[in-house]
Amino acid sequence: MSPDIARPVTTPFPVLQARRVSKWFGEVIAVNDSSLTVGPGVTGLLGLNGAGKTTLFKLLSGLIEPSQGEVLIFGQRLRREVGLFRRIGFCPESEAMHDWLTGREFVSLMLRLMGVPGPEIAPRTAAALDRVHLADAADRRIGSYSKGMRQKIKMAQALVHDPDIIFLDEPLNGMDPVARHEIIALVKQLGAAGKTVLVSSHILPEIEEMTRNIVLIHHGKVLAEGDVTEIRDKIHDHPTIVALSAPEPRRLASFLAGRELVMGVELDERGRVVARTDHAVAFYRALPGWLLAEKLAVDEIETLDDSLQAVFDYLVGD
Amino acid sequence: MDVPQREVNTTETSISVRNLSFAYVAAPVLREVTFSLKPGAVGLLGPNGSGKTTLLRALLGHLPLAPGAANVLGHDMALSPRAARRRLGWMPERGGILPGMSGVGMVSYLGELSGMPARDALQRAHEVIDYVGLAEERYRPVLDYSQGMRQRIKLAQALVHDPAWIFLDEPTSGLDPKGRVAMLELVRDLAVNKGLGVLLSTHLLPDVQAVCTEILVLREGRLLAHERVAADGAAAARVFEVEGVGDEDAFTARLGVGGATVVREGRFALVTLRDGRGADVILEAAAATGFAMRRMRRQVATLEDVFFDIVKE
Amino acid sequence: MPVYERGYRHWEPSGRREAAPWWVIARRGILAPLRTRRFLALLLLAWVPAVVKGVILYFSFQAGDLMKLLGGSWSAVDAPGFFAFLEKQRGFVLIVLAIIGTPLVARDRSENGLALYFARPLTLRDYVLGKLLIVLFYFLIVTLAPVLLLALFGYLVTSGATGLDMLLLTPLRATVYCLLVGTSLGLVLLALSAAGRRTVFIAMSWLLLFAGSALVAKILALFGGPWMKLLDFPAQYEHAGSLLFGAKAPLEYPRLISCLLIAGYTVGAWAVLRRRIRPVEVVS
Repeated sequence: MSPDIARPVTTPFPVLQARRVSKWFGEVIAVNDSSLTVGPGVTGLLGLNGAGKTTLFKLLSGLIEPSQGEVLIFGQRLRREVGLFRRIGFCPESEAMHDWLTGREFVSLMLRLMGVPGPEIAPRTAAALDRVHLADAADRRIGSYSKGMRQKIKMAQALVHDPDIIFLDEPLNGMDPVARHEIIALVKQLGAAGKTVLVSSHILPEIEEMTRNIVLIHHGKVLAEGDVTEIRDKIHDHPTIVALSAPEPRRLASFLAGRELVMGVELDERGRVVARTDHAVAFYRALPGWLLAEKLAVDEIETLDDSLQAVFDYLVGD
Repeated sequence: MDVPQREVNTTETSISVRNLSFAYVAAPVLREVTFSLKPGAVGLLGPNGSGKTTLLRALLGHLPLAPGAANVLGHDMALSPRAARRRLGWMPERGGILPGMSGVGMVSYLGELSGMPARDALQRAHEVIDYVGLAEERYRPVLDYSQGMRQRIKLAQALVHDPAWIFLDEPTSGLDPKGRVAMLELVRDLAVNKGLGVLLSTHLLPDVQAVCTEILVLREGRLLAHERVAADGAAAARVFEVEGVGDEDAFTARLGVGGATVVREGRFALVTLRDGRGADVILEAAAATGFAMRRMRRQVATLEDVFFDIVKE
Repeated sequence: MPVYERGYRHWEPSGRREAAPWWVIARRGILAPLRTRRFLALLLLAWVPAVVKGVILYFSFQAGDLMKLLGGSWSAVDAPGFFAFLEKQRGFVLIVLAIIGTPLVARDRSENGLALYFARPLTLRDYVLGKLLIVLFYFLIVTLAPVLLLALFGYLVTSGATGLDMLLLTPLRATVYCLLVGTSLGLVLLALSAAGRRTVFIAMSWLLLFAGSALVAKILALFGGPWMKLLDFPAQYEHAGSLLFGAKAPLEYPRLISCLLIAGYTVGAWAVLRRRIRPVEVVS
């Protein structure tokens, strides 16, 4: 769970829950008996192409029905309770768009469909357009928008009705670096404000900027769920690799080699001391004390394989 | 790293652009762009509409230019663009395959069109297909390829004629995390170890960070910046990024005692040390409060920082 | 295993000769369909009328006037007779060219393949010439090739009685006619292929143009008179060609008009090709 929650969750049910959900298409099983719970904050959904990520995403957002199991939003089955759709915002990956509408018309269309009273439509539309930094282009036709702007307008319509749950499928597709930065900041804001945001993406560095909380799908099953660092610490067949830059690397190396917490030590091509340990947290806690006691100076401490990419590779790699 | 580089006359492998201006109809799309590149990994960045695509078209010789505006591999692109294309590779973003052909069929065909004799082209096609990791799929129709395979075969066709420079437009587009890493490794290998020039046009700063040592930034048709991005960055010696678990308040307080100031940024604590103090202040605070640090490193200006500084002006 | 250890070597040119781009395109496009058995069968089928005519020719000169009567126009060993034969191959031309020609440019355009072509040292002319040669090759295979062989056969069967006309003049006429018609049809077909995306629609347009227009013109001519035949696409070629072969004119207006129409189609096709074949899609 993301620690940055401004408002406490008031519902007794988890916001979004999949219970033993399966989906098959003919013989092919895309999602296989998966369960998962998603709460307020930003959650990243990851997986290789063909792993079932897209199908799971569609199941969770109600676009398709599970062959087995159920998807619950605030404790209710999505397809049964139509009103629930008002509390969901969806930003799909597809590019097909209402090219003839202006940005503003497209976004306010969403509000009209929701039955929002007339006077509220214009201000809420304007607010949504501001949030995605598209206010100046709002009155141009969508047909004239660049790819990045189309993405932004899709996001605006996903947010305009102030939903509690927001599904974003590759939301940054086609955006230039500045726009990416803006939207990542927006997503983090939404998470901090207590919304439940589920982002599906292949670009791990960007997921990492948005959140530490992930769900990894592999071969149709949920392989890992939770905070990246916690997941990393649970992967025992890959000891943690820590690189230390020091003015006296060999003295440091031979010292560490003598510690019980350290499985192995070597020097890399950059002259760093690289230690492997199976007890990462204990190692981290003990390290400063050792260094000070032995009067070993250290310029940098770097854990090499706890990035999202590394965790992904360990879990999914062959 | 000592790697054998192909021996080439340096003028024949550089790209030199001087006061390049271009307008499709009325409004100028490129304005007096000037830069010079030697083989290496160069990132091309800029918002939509900044002229990136137009610049690439100009470098490929697809636009009518003024003589002297663009000199690629020793050829003036206004006068002899086709001569330059014999040694240029292009990997477009959209599409980029020839339906109806097999992988090796397509690559050898395009090799022949680049001026290779038929047998050479076939041999090379097999070699580059091996290199990009598509050996098992080479006889299958390219229409049957997955996105990852398509991107690889596109790279293969850009390499088959052994170009001096390749231009890549969003090479990781649509690839899953494994595919992205594999593609970036290939591109980095080509630029760093194999002596090719790589011009990488992308919106993904992480891709540029992983591969490039230089960037060109365009905005509204002008070249905003041409910077080298040092691998080790300009380190601000006194600011450290610290990440760990434990009693953060105690840790912060202890750091304060040592004269350091702490600011939270995302998952890092940015620790600014007082003049003359070193990392031992941080180690001492961690040891005293039982704070388990998984990283402690000097804050380095990343490519993102460099880019946003450039663009903010 | 890290990918880069597979090794990327630099190319050492073998010194063998390289081919011109248009020839590379033509060669690939000509050889590729020949690998399909069904297509080869179709080509063989297209030669059946030639074989039949050859047989009739043989027997009509052995058996005499009876056979000539039975054979009718098939037994004619003169320029108009061969012209009629060429026109009878129209159906095969329609089908073979539809199969060969409709995907030629459309496929390259469908996945932004043109970007790959034009990143190479070739020009629009190279591309169009190469593709045109492919269409022309298959056009000639079902029209000129059988006619040339039949002319030779006719000369031999009649023991040279037909004289220089069969041996030289008619083959010459046929060659000129087929090359001109083939080039014009080829450019029109390529233009259709470049104008559309889906092979199915292009094929339908070709069918409409080649066969449908003939039907429509025929019907309209019943009410509107002979000038309605201007709409008949393939008839223009026949009308112009009939002059070359000394055959009876199929249409009732001056042949010059047909020639102008044909020139118009051809130039129009080239204009379409110039617009649609570009390195990058022009996005407005």
